[in-house]
Amino acid sequence: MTPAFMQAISPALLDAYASKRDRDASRRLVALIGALAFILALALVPLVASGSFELGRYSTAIVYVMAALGLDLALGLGGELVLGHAVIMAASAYSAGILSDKLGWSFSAAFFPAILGGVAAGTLMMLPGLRVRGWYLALITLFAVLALPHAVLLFEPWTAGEFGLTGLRPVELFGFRLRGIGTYLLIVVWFAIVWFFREHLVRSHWGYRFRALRDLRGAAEAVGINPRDTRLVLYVVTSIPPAIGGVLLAFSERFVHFDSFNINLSLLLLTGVVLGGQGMRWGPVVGMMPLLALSFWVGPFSQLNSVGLGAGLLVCAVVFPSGLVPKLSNLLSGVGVILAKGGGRAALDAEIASYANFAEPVDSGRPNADDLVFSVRDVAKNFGGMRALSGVTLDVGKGRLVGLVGPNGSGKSTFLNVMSGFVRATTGRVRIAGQDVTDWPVHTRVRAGVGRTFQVPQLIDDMTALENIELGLLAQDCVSTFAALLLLPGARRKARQRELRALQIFAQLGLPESILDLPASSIPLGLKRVVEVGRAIASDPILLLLDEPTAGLNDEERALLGAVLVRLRDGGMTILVVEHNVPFVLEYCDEIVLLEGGTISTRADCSERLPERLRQYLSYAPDQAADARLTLEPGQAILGGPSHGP
Amino acid sequence: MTITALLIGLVTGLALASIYVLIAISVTLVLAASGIFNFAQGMLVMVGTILSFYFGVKFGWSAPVAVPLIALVGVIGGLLTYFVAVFPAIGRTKSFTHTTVLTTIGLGTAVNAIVALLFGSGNYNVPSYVSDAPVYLFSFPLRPTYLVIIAVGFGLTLLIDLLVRRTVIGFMFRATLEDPDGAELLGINTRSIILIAFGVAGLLSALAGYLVAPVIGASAFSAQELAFYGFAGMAVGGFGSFAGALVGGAVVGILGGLLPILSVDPHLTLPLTFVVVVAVLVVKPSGFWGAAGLFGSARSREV
Repeated sequence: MTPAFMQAISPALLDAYASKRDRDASRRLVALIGALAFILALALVPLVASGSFELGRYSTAIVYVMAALGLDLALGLGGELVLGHAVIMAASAYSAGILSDKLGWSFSAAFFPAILGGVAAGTLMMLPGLRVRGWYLALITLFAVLALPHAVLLFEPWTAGEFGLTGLRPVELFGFRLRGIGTYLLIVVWFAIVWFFREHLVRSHWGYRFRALRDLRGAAEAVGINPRDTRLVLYVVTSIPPAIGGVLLAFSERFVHFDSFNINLSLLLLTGVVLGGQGMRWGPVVGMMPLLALSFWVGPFSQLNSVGLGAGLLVCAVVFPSGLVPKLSNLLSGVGVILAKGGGRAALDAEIASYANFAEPVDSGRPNADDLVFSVRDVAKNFGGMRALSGVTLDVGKGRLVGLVGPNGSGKSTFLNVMSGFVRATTGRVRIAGQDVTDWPVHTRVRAGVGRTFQVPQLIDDMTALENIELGLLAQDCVSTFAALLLLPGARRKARQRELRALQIFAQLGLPESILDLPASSIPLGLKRVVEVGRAIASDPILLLLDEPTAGLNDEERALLGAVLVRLRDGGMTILVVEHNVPFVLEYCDEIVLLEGGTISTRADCSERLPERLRQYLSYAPDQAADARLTLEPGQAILGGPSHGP
Repeated sequence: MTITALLIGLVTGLALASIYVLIAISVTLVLAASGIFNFAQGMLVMVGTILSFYFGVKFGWSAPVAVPLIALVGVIGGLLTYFVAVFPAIGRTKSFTHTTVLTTIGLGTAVNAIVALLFGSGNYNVPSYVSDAPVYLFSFPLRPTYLVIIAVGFGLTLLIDLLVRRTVIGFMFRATLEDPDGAELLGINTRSIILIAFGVAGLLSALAGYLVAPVIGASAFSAQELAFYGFAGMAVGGFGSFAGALVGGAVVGILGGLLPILSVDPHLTLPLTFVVVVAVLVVKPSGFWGAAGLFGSARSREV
């Protein structure tokens, strides 16, 4: 039996969702089996490797792949061009070396503090990323790699300079001394830990946030993401795998020298990640393999390594920018079908029934907005000498659907940006639900209940429509990072419920089930807009700001969206919609505000006959003149009408 | 420490600064015209040092023969950079900036390594293009090489500045910076403007290599750090402004010239420069003399 709260969802959509879940589950199963097989294979390497020298090379190779997994978090998931992971490895290796050689700490005592040293160094190195982007960050982090040997030589009494640290204590665990194979297996165990750490991180809410930073850029804030904090978390988590790798390398070789962490290592990691495929689970493994094989073949000090790295990077970035893994997985796509498991609709129905009524709105502690949802006082905004807004004053109460119209350049988008916080008003105050939010950043306003969409839809390209809607739910839903990383049952259950809630919104918006499992990059533009509306309403805002939501929609989709907006309004949401489509505004809005030259010239209730100025403005299009509210008095001139913006 | 030592340090610093300024301007020209940060620019400086070894030492050619040839190789190298690392990436990827960072790093790495394979990894001395006997300025001994570097470096910088400000090509260049699409509509071939930028940048970098070869020697690796000092000067001074490149390059150069004189550990230079760059960027991401627009254009490119 389907509980009432899910009845809005059509059986066809539920079927589609059930099979999507089964597909996801089988994909995850394939990935899990693959990962376990790979780790098992690594663990069996000592059976074929001859001698400790060869085992040492395998250890180093595994540590490099581990570091590449970390780099991929920044590069593939977060879209940050960070090239200094060699510095992180060096920092943790030197921390381990100094603690063990100079201070005499044992392996177990030095292990975690040394990782901390590496993570701290990495975070510090990437800190300028809070201010600068793109190649600028690449440059700074590469610079750090070049500065590293000099820094090591400066602190020679601690780092032993050119000679390197040689007095590291042996690897001892619970009183047992680990030798060749033991140390190797320890590295494999840590590789497995890092692998599943990454896996869980990508699926957790942090995975959503990092990708939002990458694809949404500025718009990520409109989803309630604090870019600074999220970036800091990204810098910390991307530093963890190379930091672990650095410590393991230091103790397994019992020797630390800056030459092992030069610019070639950074380039090796970078090329490996790019070659395999950025943001792909198997990317670093697949990409590093040919490079490591080359290094095994020609020896680690040959210039041929650099030739291979450089040429590989150049060719790969141009010829197959998404890497080798997508090419390979096309070949292997058949395997997933065979392994497909899952109970289809029956299992889904049973699960939904078990939730009874999770969809009860949670008390988010938001201020009660019974009277005024927002109140704008004398807001003006200058861009240089351009006056975009000059003294706008507007009060809107709860549960109103307000259309904001006006010619291009009249300041509609600026007004929306001032409301959502992307633009700071030059003068004037903005209050939302009684609170003065004029100086609040965007993401804080989102948590206070402001949702918005953009003229150009901003979605995460490689996530599905459903996952993009889920992103809006993350703003109000707080699962602890710890629980999410460990995939504790509570966090899992919550993630499932979140997905179902997103499905509800998906159904409510009348989105077709054919796009359920499509990546956002292949959804048609009009539907992207609707998905974005879904993301905005997912955070359950008290004020929803829509920037031309019907552009690119056909009549049917427009009617559906209008009905959704009306329903949301009836539920108490206040909606401010910037729109050029006059019939849409007239049919659904409660009132219309006309913005001209940066000020509100007219405000009118839609249920009554509209004032003359507004009529003149709106009746520009001939077929709309049929509307009784728009008929002009004889002899009236038609003003410059609404032009159709981009 | 004497006044003499200080002055020598200052002149050394200014000579280094001229090299950094040339590199900074090469990078800035390309960045301004195309929005690409060319990580392979240091490669052409390296090629300049190696060629000055071959031409000067192996073949025994004099400067009037060697300089035009090196300049020509620089121009060709710049154009090749465009055709190998930039042109194939156009329209193929989601993020052009992201991709060109990767391709130019890849190209630079591969070429550096190939040169190291062919040339060996040693560092060879290159005799100076002027006599090494010190000239005396008020009885202070100054190394003539440094004076030449300073004169040529700053002269070239002023020349480029004049070209950009006063000539038709300069106007087209600035129109392209302001609005590439608009410039295209005006009949300006923006592709050729970008090619010119790559060519001129290659020329400046190769000449910087030639100029600096007697100081640092010829090797496949010596130019790498040099390029980063150039970047540092640019970052401190501010991208897209000649004044910024001059001041930033001078600050970084003089820092590098004076630190050894002040009997500080020479290894302090690079880490200290790094810290200065990071500090400047965190405080003022556009650099101290950089404006939002490049070369006085009103529009800012996303950096």
